[in-house]
Amino acid sequence: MGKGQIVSLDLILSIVVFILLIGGIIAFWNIYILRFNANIKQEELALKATKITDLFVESQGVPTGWNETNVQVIGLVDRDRRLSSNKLASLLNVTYAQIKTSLNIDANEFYFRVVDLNGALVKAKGNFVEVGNSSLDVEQVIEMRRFALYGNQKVVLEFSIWE
Amino acid sequence: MVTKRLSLSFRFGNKGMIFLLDSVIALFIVFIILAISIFFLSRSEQSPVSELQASRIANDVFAILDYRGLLGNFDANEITSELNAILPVGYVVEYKIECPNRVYDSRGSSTFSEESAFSGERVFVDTKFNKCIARYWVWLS
Repeated sequence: MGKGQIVSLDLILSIVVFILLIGGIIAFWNIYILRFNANIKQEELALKATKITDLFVESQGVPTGWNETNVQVIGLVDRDRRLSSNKLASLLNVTYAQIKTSLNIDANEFYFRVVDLNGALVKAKGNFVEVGNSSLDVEQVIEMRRFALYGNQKVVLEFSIWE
Repeated sequence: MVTKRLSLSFRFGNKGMIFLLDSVIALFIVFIILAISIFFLSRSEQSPVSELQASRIANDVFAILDYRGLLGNFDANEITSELNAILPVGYVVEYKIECPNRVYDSRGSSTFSEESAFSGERVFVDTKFNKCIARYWVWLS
């Protein structure tokens, strides 16, 4: 007695759809997790950059008249958003590692500079205000720009941070 | 009726096709899951950095305007030209200054979505020692 086999079209369709669905979900999941992790890192860096630049333009630092020998917290202003030339000059005398420790970013690298509105570096007591190496070949860099007054001049503080 | 059925039979053969309700529901679920996945994927592309940057830039700029005495002078032209000079390319700001005896609103006819703009305010004292409030909205064009 001959035997027959029935393959119904809706079964084939449902199997195809199921495989496509599972494949799609796995692909989406992987992409989403990658982007999610990248976003978390980006957000962490952005928060750090924001807090650090807040300190720079709003705080006098600790102690208020800090210098390279006694700095605990770096702040660059005498009053809110008015940069102090003494503090900018002191910052240039603090080592890169010391700044990282003071800002609690030992695991990160940073680049900081102060420029005028045309992009030219600003000087403090004869030296250009620039610390660290710019991050040209780094994939995920967060850059934060802040505005402040330096004397009567409007200047931009550019702070970049990366892992 | 019989003729029509015969002609269909010649064209497609003696085969029928059944669409079951469960397959329709399955497809519906598939599309819902795909739509949700795409939604979350597109949301993951939004960067929080630009929002933080916009908020800080607006705070800084209005603080500078305050310290330079431009807010207290209440000169809208000077404030606008100063804003244009300071703000980085791509940022747009609208503002409203309210003092007890006068109000200036730069928004005028411009349209923007307050949901996509960062807003803030700064309290300052004008040249006549009145307490005033500057409200501002900043967004990326």
